[in-house]
Amino acid sequence: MTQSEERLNVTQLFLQHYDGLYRYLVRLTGDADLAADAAQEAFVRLVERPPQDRHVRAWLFAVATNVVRDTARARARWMTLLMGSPDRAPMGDAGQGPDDAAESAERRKVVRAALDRLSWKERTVLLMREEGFAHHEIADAVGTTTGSVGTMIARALNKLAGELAPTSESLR
Amino acid sequence: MSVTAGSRHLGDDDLIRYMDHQLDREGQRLMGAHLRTCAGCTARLEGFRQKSALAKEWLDLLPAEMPDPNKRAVALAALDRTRFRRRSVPMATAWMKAAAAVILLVSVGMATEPMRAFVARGVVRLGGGEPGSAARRLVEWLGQERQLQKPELARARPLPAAVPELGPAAEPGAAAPAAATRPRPAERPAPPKRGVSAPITFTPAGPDVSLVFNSVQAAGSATIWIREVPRANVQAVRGYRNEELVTGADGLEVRNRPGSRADYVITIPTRYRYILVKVADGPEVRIGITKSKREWVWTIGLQNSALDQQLPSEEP
Repeated sequence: MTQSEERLNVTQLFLQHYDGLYRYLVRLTGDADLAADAAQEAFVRLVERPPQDRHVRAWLFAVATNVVRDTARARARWMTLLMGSPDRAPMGDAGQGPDDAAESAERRKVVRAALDRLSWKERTVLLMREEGFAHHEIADAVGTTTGSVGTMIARALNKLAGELAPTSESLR
Repeated sequence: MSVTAGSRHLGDDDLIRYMDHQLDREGQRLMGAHLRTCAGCTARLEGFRQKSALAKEWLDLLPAEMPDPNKRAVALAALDRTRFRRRSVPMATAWMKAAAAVILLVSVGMATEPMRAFVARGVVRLGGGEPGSAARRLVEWLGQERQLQKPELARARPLPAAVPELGPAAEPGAAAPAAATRPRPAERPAPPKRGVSAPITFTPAGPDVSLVFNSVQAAGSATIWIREVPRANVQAVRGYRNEELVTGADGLEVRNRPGSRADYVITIPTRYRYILVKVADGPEVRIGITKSKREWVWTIGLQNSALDQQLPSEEP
């Protein structure tokens, strides 16, 4: 592969997957800065050690997930993430009035808190499932078997429903 | 998945995999068959579908914000830097590999005698034939002490290259003394050339010096030079092919062969009384050394053993 081809290829991959990866990471961590750092690191590793036999998108998500986990540990932010940090959730959409904005922020806060009460693996499998990954790809990312991914998704759905269903109407 | 139609209820993981279409065709068919007959599993599946749809709604409440353009730009720049570094690495790696290969070759080569001798010669030459103490220690460490001896012997060598040019049976006392007495500038001893042996000094213990050639040769000659030198010495100056020059208490034995073609220069100090020369099975010829024979040179052919016909009479 020539330099220009390589550059084109990596740039294309970046344009294709960066936004989706960033969105997933923000949902996973509730921290936009951490999400941006992890997404960048995943693409850097893609250049340094490209996957030989795995789908690039799944590989990027798996690497970024591991980066987030390791970084969170390193920053001692791990406990914060596990115990919930709804205040850190990205706030606000443009174009809303003050009341709407406040209401949206409240809803997000509740969802964020419910997500943060899931275990790291449960949150990861749930969010990766939402991104459309197959169970075997999710299993690679979280380091488990394909069979147990179904169990974790079921548990995550049950927990989330237990947290949010009582307030479901108010969330709509 | 171990469930068949009409058997026990499906597990949550089975239902999720069925719902997410993560089973193969046969698995999906078996699950579907079971669900058609099992109201309980169907209800649980429906429950998961609702929870899944709700989860999607809830997750969609989280902001799908786009990354900060500055952060995107920073990430792209980081990618470019990484690409540049990555392209640079193979060159550095190539140099490191080449260096490692050279070091490996030298290391392996140092385990062999020819390589050690080569390195020792290089060290001695770099030192101008007179290496310093560190260089000497290195040469000794390489087990090549003989490389240190060569320059010393070369300094004591009496003009080996000039004498054979006299030709066979040159007139004693004519050209050679003139050449020998000509003042010469100090020279760095030249390394042995191809076909030239290392010079060897020897000191016979008795009053006479014995020179024995084990065989007649296909070609070549021996030049015997009587000089005011402290020690006798010998060197094959041309056509040398590993003939052995063996020195002992009596003098010199040249272990040559019928096919040999070497020329030898043998310098004998004037303090000895006689030179006893013998070629192959020929008669031993005795040459007396007198004061008048200082700087005298005889060149004898080694193609036959009849030395008495070649050597000048003792009293000219």
